Amino acid sequence: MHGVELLIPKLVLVALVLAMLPASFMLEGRRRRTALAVVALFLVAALAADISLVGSSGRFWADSIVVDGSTIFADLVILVLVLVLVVSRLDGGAHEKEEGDFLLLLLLSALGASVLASAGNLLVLFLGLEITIIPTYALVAFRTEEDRSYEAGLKYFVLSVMATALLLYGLSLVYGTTGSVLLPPVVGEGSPLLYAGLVLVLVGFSFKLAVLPFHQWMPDVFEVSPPEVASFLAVGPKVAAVAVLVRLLAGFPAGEGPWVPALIFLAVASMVGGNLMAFRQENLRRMLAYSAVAHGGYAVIGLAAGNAAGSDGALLYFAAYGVGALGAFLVVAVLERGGEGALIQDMAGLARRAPLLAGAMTVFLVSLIGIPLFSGFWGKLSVFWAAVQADMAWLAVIGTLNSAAALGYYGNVLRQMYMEEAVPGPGVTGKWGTRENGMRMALVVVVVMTMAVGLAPGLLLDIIG
Amino acid sequence: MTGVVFVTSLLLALGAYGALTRRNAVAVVISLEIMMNAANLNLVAFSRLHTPELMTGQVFALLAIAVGACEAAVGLALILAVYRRYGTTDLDRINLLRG
Repeated sequence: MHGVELLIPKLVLVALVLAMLPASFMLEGRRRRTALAVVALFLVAALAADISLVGSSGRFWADSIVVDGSTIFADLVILVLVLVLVVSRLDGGAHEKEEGDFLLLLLLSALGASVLASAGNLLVLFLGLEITIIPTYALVAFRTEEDRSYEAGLKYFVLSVMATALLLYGLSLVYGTTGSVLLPPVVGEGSPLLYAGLVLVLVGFSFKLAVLPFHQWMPDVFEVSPPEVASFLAVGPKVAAVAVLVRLLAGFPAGEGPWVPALIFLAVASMVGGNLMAFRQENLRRMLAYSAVAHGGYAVIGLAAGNAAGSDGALLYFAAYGVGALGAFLVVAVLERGGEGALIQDMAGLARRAPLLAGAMTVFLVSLIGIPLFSGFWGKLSVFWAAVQADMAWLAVIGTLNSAAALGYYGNVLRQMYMEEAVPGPGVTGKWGTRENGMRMALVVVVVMTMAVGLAPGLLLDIIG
Repeated sequence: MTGVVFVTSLLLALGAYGALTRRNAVAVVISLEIMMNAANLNLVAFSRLHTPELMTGQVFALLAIAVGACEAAVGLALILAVYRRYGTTDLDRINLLRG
């Protein structure tokens, strides 16, 4: 078939998932490290293939799979994310005994996100979304020693399936009114039923993006799931969902119609609500969860702007925010494996106990705040700029005020790490707070990515364009 | 078409009502399946309206049913795990988490 090289990143993921079904036990024995390194090598190969595809595009199987700039970009983000997570577990995660199952589910979910990002019709969109989400039900409840993890998994499941059902109903209405399943839909005149369908689809995706008021699952899930899963959920499915949402909304006239105020409402509600609730959190993970809700709101600004700068900006946003979130959750993983408490105040004096770990966390938090020269800043700048271009400057102003407010709760973590005295007790030791080389390597890679994107954001924009 | 949408939207609302009010987790899953099936009915009906020879909607519905089965399987496994730990499937009594 012509152009099959465009699918190599996805095919590598398919091969890894298929190989892991019978061979997952390899990841659990004495050769665990080697097996994980092989998986990492395959992911690096997929990543290299993906980067070599930049600038090309193609359509496959009656337009059901579309490879274009946003697909390649989403694949890049997903592959980097999974690769870093695999590397961070090289020397033993919290679940060495079930490493095979864990990685199988994670890769399957990554594959689903990759398919979702390249969906060219509604069938593939639905299928991709479900391949992404179904493994995460199990992943969220993976810490079997903890009762609450099952509870979080079950609650997540119920809300998520409800959103999926609404989304499917919305998709059926879009199909019914336009008579075609291709993306972008051919809207023509438009009808109330079509708009009702679109609203239901948006509700479904809002849930997956965890924007207010569809965010309730996120704090619970972030609090008890393995940190790797939380960081994956914060970025992978979202970047894919944005890529496909852009393709879906492209069929509708830009900047008008009832969904624009709906998107604006989602954006403002998430930014303000997420930030307000993040202030009240004492638990580091719950704080990160509510701040993720706020970050989802910033990205939705890009979608609400409805122009090319906005859709690229929304994609870029999740990548730029994602490196910071990924890094923060890696730090959470280190703290947890080191026996630290889960509260923000348990981080007191971290700068003295584990200076390099605290330094890395500082870089991630500064990026999440959105200070210039770190990756998060460019994400914010691109969506705000898109809003200004779309004559929604006030939306950009609200966004800016919110990111200034976010300084409060991120700054609190910084204050604890640098200003407070450490309370004697069990906790992390050593410069990095961990003796695992894989985890150290992952942390260094994420710090470098945060700075590299911050200094040269053009690298990422070129991929989308 | 309005007739179809009327019936299926009723089914969707019924499922949503069940999912929100039922306290037994298994009953909630059943309600969720009713919601999914409202969409499937839509797909099959619209397929007859638009392109009966292509059967796009039918294929979509089949796919959605298969995916729904996977989802239900994972969900029931979770319910079983919760039941073993908490000794109940009453969602109101499974509340160790704050949120």
